[in-house]
Amino acid sequence: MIKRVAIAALTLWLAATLIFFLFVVHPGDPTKYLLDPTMTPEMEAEIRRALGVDDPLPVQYVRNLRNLFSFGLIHPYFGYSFQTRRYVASELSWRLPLTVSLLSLSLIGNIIVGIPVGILAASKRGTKLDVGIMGVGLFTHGVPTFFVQLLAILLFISYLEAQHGIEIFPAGGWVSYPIPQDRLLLIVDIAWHLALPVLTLVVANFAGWSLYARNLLLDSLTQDYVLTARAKGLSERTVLFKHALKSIYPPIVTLITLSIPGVVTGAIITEQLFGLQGIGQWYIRSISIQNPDYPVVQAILFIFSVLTVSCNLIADLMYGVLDPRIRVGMRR
Amino acid sequence: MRNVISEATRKTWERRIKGFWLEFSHNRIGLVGLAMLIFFLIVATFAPLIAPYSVSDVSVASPWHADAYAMPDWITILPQFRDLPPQQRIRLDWAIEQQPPSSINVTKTADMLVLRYNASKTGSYEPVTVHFNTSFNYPYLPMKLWTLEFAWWASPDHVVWTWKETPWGWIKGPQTGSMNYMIKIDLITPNGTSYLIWDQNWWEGKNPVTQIPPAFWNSNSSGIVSMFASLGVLATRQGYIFSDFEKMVSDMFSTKGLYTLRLGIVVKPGEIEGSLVALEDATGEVRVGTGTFIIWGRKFGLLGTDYYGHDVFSQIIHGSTISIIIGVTSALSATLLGVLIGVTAGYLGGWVDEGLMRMVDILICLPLLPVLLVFVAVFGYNVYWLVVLIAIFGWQGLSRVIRSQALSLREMAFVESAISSGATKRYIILRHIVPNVLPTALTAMVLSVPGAIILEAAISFIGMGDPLAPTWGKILYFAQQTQAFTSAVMAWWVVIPPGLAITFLCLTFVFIGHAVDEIVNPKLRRRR
Repeated sequence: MIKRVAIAALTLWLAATLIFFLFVVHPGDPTKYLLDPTMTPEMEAEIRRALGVDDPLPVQYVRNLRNLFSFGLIHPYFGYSFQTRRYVASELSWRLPLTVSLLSLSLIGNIIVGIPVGILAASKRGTKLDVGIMGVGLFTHGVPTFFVQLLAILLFISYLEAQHGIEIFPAGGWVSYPIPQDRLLLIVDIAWHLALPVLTLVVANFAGWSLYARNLLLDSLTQDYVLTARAKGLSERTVLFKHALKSIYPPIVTLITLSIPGVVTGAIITEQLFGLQGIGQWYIRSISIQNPDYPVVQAILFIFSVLTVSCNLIADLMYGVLDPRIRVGMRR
Repeated sequence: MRNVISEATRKTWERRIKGFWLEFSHNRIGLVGLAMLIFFLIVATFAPLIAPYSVSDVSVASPWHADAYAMPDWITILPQFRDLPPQQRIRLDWAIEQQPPSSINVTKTADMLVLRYNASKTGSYEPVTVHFNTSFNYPYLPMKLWTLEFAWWASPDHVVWTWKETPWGWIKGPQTGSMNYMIKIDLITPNGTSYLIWDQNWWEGKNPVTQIPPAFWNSNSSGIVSMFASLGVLATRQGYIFSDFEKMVSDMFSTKGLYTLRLGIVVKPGEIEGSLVALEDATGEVRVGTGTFIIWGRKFGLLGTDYYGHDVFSQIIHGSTISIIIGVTSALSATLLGVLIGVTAGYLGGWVDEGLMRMVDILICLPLLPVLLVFVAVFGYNVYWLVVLIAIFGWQGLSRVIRSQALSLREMAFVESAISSGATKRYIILRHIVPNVLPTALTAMVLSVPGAIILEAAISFIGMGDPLAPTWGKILYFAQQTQAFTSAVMAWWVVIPPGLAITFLCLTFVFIGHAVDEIVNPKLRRRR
């Protein structure tokens, strides 16, 4: 248990170090955004001193670590964004909830659609339904999520809405303008704006979950204890839901947490495509080849790492709770 | 290696491969995948022969092939698109309208029209107008854009620079010559409307937005004209809003029929330094090169054109090469790394195992796409570098599986007997462990190709792709960047084909991987 937490902390530290050194070797000058030709040399020197870009490396490194591991709660607030000229943490405070809700909604959608479909397929194995679900599952392995989203935009936004005036989903962004004043209306409005991104994420990915759940369930249906349950004369329904199903929870929970990094990846492109001002979109904007807005890139990359590391940690711990056969800390 | 791969081993492998093929050839999904793979390999190998345009032809800065977002050629089977104009270059073969007076001598060479003026032949100071025309049939819907291209030269025989005295000294004033001339081109529609689409004053007007009457010149001048209908000046002159040139062009070509371009050349004796020249001196020459009138096609090729007017079909074909190379090489190197590290960790155990597995724990936690994007941003993009990156971040999952297999293999009796008969570690790993984990590795490799392909496409799609490589992701990126989705354009042909290409290439490997998985993991077969 302590070992797991230590590894998680080590991972975060390594990620922070990696991010720091990537920008040390980067040829671009981080102050380029802030300097302009009208400044006197004294002003430039003052800015460089304030940013500390000329400090010795170890000093910069320690300052950087302290900055990242304070999670934006104390003074440098993840640093100062060159593009928006605000503290990164204050921008994050309104961007992060959007990303998190997009991520969690799509993950929940995938689970509540994908896994029951997989169980259905397993309980009707060999039928046309099963083959069909398997086919869809295989197919979605090959379809990039952003392609599904582009098609949805083409159909719902360009075709139905712009050409025929049927507005099922909003054209983009995360809220209508003017912003609704009523709190309830605001939530409904944001949910409406998130609907198409979340739906496309679910459509593009749920079948992979079904395939996984189906294979796990079929594995457990061939186990001896299921045979015993059947031999006792239990109905197929009881066997499936009371006996076989229990054994698939632990691996599914693992998969859910392990899939978080992938979901983060999907969120970056989704936000970019649908114009949702989450942290993924901000990340892509900040990460240009010539002049990365490096405090932003650093902070978001660190947040992504925290997200994935903690999910992995939770997965490991949950696994032990859900599956009594395995206790964390025991030598496997 | 001689002692590792003996005759017996070779035979065993031969038998295994034959057995594998026997099973594979009975797997329907696998065969479909194999057929698709062969198809993609042929396309990728012969891409330069299949694609009508080369890679450099379809890069952003190259000349257009047709209008931006031209539709696919075969769209004409739909009735509403039946009359879309194809890409056309009409050679302006000027024919003289009526015999000119004797002061004009017209000669025509292969690429030029030469008009010689000699006022003394008629003894008149009156201006002489000569008209030439060229006609073309246009039985199509209006195009969105045309271009007029030709060159002209005008040279009065005697030319004098005027000089002006200014506070800064003497400076050259306007040139004056022995011949006044005016050149202009009109477009005459089938219903008789005439549009002045070009004259020599085009760029000379001090304020081109206001209408300026065509004025005579009498200096030595020449010009190479490349006149796009999208020049706002033209729309303004015809009485449209500056930005409304598409409306102007569609009004010009609203009727189907015979269109005529009419070249008018007007000459008269010129003035040198303010005084009219004598009749016998009033000579000069006007030459007009053979030009072209380009109608930018609204339909083009198998899959239309993109925003930059480039053939989409060629881009799709060229993209296959890069996608296959990236997908296969990065999956292969990631698998090699995974097997190497998994076997090493599992067989050697101890602190090596601990160290390697902790490295896996750490690497597997890093969010892949964001990290790759940072690496690309910092070190720049090229295809090889991306392969290395995908391999570096792609082996962790496999190495865990391989390690656990190696762990159990290590305890097996045949390994133990090998150890007791004095086999070295290297021998055991190569002879016993690696062949036994190979099926897993092979499956994992095939199944990891789609991930690599989609990852590359995603990076290109975000816009961090190689600016020089024609990838499918880049077509989608440009489609998104250049408003392919606006309702007026709805350019599905730059969205659906590249997306389907990525999908089908990935499915190829998914199918093959699925079949291989079933063969090497016989347990799976019970699930059907």
